[in-house]
Amino acid sequence: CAGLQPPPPPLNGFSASGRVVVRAGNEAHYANFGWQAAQGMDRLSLDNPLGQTLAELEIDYRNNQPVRAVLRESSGASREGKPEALLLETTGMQLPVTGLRWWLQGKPAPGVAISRDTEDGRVIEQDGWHIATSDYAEAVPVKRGPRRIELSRGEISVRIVISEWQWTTPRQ
Amino acid sequence: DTVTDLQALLGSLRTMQGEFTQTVVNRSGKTQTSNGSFAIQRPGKFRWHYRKPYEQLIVGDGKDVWLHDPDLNQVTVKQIDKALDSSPAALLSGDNHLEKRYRMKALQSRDNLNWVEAIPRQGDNNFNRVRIGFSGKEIRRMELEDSFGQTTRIEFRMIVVNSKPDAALFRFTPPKGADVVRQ
Repeated sequence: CAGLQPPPPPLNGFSASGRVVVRAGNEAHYANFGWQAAQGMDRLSLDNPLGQTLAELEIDYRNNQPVRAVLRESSGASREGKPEALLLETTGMQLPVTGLRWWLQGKPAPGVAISRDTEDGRVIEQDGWHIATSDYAEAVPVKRGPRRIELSRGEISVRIVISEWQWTTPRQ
Repeated sequence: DTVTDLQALLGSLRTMQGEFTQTVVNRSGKTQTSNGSFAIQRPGKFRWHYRKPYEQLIVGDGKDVWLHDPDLNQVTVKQIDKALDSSPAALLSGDNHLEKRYRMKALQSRDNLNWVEAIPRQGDNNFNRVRIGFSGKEIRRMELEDSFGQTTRIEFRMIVVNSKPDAALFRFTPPKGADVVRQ
């Protein structure tokens, strides 16, 4: 779609908690997570089932582009870098976090994307990822808060279940 | 004193079973509560079964630690020592004495329980400190603090000590169709 893109809708601030497993080759990385998202900043906390934080990733955004990312480990060490690279280095998880802040909600990220509704949710194709969201917490007036998100690209597959959705900005 | 009382209690502990409630409070005050049942058999065997708000099962069979998440249809398994687990289950079911791996300090009694604080001797990266609250022969509470200011409080209920738990509690066979990965 050539031409100037309309400015993307502002991100609905949300807080979601659930579990994620990232499968790549014969590896599986599993964690409980908490995700706080706001227009300008995301905080993703990866915990073990006992609630002990394994790593915390903070990403600052300016008009939907990550401008700074810091990852803090349970040892207290913290490092700056590209969000996905930081997460991979410290946890082994290959998680497309900058796209996921939209896909988690069942929405395409700004930019080129194919998105269509399906019987129980929505399918999005973007950045080489196939994303399927289903089991929405709310359906009226608009579907909101999928509880199941599955995405794959090449040999990486990610499965997410959300046990709690909270929205901080009023419904658009 | 309180530390030797706890060590005596743990020394005489062969098995422990019951229910638990877990409350995790993060540094901005958000709390998440879950509950389920547990069983421990020293050395090295434990079952930690979260039921609400979702199911998650962790089983230590003496050799490996299995984790099963039915919603994700995922099973991960790793050797018990690799699990480097500082969970209550591992702490209580561990065979070596606590003071080899933790510095122990008596705290003031609170909520009519005796309290001991255990701080990992070498940097255990999962948490900073664990507090164990006990009364008589029963461990009633544990509090774990991580380095992000997040606290996990666990309350044990309906506790049965030194009984004969069913051996099947400490075995795990992955359900058909589950994705099983050894780490």
